[in-house]
Amino acid sequence: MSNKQRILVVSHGHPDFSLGGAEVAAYNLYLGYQQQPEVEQAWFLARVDRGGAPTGKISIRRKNEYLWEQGISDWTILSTENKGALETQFRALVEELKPTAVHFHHYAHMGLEVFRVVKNINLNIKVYLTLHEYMAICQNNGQMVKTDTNLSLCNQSSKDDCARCFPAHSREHFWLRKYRFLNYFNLIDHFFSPSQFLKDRYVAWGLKASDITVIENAQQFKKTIPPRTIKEGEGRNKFAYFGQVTPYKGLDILLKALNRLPKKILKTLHVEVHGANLDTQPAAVQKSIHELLDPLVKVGVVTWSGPYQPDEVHERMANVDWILMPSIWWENSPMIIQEAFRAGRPVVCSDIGGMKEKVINKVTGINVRARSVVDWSETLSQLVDYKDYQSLIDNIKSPGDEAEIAVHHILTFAEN
Amino acid sequence: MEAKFTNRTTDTNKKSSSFALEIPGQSVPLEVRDNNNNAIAYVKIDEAYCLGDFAVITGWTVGLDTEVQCQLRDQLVLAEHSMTRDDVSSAYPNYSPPKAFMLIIAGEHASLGAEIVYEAKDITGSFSIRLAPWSLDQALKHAYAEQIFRAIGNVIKVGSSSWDDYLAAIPALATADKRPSAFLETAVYSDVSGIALIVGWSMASESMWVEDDQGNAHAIKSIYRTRRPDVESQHGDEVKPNLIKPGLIAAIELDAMPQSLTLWAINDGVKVVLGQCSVNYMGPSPERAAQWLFSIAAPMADMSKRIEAIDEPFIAPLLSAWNNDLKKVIPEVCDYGVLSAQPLVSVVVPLYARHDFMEYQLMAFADDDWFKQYVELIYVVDDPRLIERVKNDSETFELLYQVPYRVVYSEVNRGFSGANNIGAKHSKANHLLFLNSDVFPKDKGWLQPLLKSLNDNPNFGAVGPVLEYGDGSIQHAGMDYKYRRDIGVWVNYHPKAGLDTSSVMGQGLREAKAITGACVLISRRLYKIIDGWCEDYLIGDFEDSDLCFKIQSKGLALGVDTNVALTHLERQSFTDLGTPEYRTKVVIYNAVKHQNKWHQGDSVDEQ
Repeated sequence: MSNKQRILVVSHGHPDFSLGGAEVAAYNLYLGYQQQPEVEQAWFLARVDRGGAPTGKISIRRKNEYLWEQGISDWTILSTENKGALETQFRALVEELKPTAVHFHHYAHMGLEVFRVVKNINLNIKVYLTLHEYMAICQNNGQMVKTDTNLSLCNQSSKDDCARCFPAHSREHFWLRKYRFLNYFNLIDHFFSPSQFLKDRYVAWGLKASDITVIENAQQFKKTIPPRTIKEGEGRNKFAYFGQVTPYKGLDILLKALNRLPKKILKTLHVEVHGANLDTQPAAVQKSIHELLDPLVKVGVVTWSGPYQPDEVHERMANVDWILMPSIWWENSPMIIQEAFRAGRPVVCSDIGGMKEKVINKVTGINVRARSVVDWSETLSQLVDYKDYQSLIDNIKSPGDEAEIAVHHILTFAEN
Repeated sequence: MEAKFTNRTTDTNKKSSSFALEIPGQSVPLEVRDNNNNAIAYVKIDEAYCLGDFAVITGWTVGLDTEVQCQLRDQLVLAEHSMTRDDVSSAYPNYSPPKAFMLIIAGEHASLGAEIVYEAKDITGSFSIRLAPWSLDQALKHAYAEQIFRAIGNVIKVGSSSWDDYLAAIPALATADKRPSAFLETAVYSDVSGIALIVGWSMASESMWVEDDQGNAHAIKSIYRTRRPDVESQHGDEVKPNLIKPGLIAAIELDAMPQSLTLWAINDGVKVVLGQCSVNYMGPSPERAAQWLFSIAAPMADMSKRIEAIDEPFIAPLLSAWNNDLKKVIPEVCDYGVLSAQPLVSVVVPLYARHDFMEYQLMAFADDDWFKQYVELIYVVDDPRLIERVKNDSETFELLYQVPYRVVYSEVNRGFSGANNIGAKHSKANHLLFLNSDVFPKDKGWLQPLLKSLNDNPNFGAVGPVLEYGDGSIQHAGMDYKYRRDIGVWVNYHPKAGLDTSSVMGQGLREAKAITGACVLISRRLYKIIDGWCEDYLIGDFEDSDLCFKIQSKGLALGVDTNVALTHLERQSFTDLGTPEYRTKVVIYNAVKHQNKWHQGDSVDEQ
């Protein structure tokens, strides 16, 4: 029997169908594992939603890649919908593949029960979990943002605080919720967090600091793009927003900031909005975005570039000077920041959470007071004439590629 | 009527200077004279007559040291001395206020007469009287007709010849007279308790009885009166100082269900129908009966009195019969996984209203190797609504958590005690741990120390752990009792609840007055000796302190092992059991039951 690792990577989605940062990071890591000499074999299992009920069926996407029709019966406690499939199809897969480690990226859409099934099959199989978002801590989609109309930032969970966010749930519900998460997390051999900020939140919540290692999400290697060539006398005045258009992403803050700039300054800059999923937002959200966006598009300050494929991001960044990230929630390790660094572009982002951690103010980008329209306005007007742009570019390091990140993980496995 | 009077002195030397006196009538009061022949007191008999097997004697005294007494062969039903006689006091201004009296005597010899005994200074005297027959005239003019009626009503067999004599002597309401306002709102009958309850209100006197649709008269066994602001505002002109509680619930014992019941009263010397009401059948469910009764408004402060008079006598026989029937229902028993062959502890967990707690417990037990090896885990599904869900979940839980357990599907709701008892019946270990479904271990390895505490301390009958609320504060570190004046009952309470656990933890096994039933370990031997959990309580209260009292009655102590703590999300499953008001009434019901059993000698003032 070889001592090599056999690693099953499990994700709540396959990047072929679902383009969230966690899914992409999970898939990249799977590719990275495959390249390592210490790894005998790696597989990728992704939950899939084919529109029907979760049948529990497992099928093959391509060699070594599997899809699992699974779902959640109760999102407040992340319980598996098709429990019967845990001890049949899922068990059969694990028993067949005989992994030495199962590396979960998220348990959303699958439920916490999967951890226990792996340990039931063989206690010696290591179970690793990369934490994305704050789902165990916060019932509000793991955002750590309150449910009030201001979407206020939240610093910590408690029975009393959480029951105020969700009056339909009792304080005891939140006690039980945490009891359940901690019980299942007790089965995890080691955690990974893509940001120190997220690790700190989980340590404050109840995990041991020594049980969590911070490793950045894996990106596939791409060459850094030189800064945009500018004409004599032209400023660094081209900006781009990438991301979904949800209330948490703060696009409305950015647009409000633009709308309050004097025309004279407005004429000197240009913003591309590469926005996804606006059409699936609630009507009220769509309406308010359009009210802010349309006048700016009309005068040529903003270009609506629409959604994008992940492999297009790199090229789309080539023609801009700054990447904008006005999120009003903490974020974790946003993929857009990593992609900006890979492309060699400084990031202008909110000064909270994972964004502040990843983008050092005036070193690799600019931090702006989160949620402040005035500050965003002033920052945008000043950046056009930013003097030390080249030093920002020089400070940016391309994030580790999938192979590098995989090695980092495997080294940590050896100790945990 | 004739009376013979005898005056005699009694002193310590027994030098009697008694004298006897006979007077032909009672037109003048008897003068009681001292040895110097000074009048020091007066005794007057107003009336003395017989009514069937009863003797009724009324009159007054002035100057006596004590109240007149009646020496008789028969039973003194009532000696009433609290009535005032202003007419007499004006005639004897130099004496202390007169004491009017009414004596009612029952028995087959009552009609033969009585001897009246009195004391004034060093003089004790007596006289014997003979009785006149009861007459219509006397009934009509009698100042104390209602008191007499009530007193006799306590012992008379309604419908007997005495009763008929008495009623026959009382005239009916004349058509021209105003009928007192009254209304019967509803009536129910339970063949299990053999009691009919009439609910309504009346502005008439309190001298009432009930007739069924066959014309048979029935005495009111017990009655509860309460204020009715709605009635009082509508019928203010009839409000009297001696009738401030028009609302009524009256209980009548009946062998069979009547179609209707009629409430009668003697009001202002005449008999009158207060109201009539058809009777509804009350089924055998004690819970339904409690829900119906508790929906009838009464001030909370009054509830303990009402429950004692009305609710408990009506519900208790239903509860007893219901529990007997429940014992005949054979539960379905399913094992999930292979249970330990020689368990050290059987853990019995009743499930009611919430099925989901079970999974949280199982996920904790799953990581506890001692528990998996030595415990026989038994869930009792005490709620038919949960059966299907638990059956479905168990298919998954067996494989996922790998903690073998047995489920006793009770089919019917047996209540906390009944569920615990049937769970125990389907278990075999030498020790029983009764555990609420909303109690969760904080860590593995909690049960073994509890078992050791009990085994190492043979003077303890049962032990439990410290229980914490979800926030880590004390939920239980032993129970105590306190008297709640607001609702007039003894209740259990948890000292130090809500405080930091550090003040109680780590002190080993400590004796407590009582311990909670949410998590209690007891040997099967003792459990059998004390006949398990008492099933006479409604829904789920006081069973644990009842168990504790039973254990203490065997000379054994109760202990809290302060080295062990679990979390208790107290009363989550009770939110399903009705409104807070209903819940409070259930608490009072159980408290009344509990204190009649265990707190009889306890002084309220000590609290």
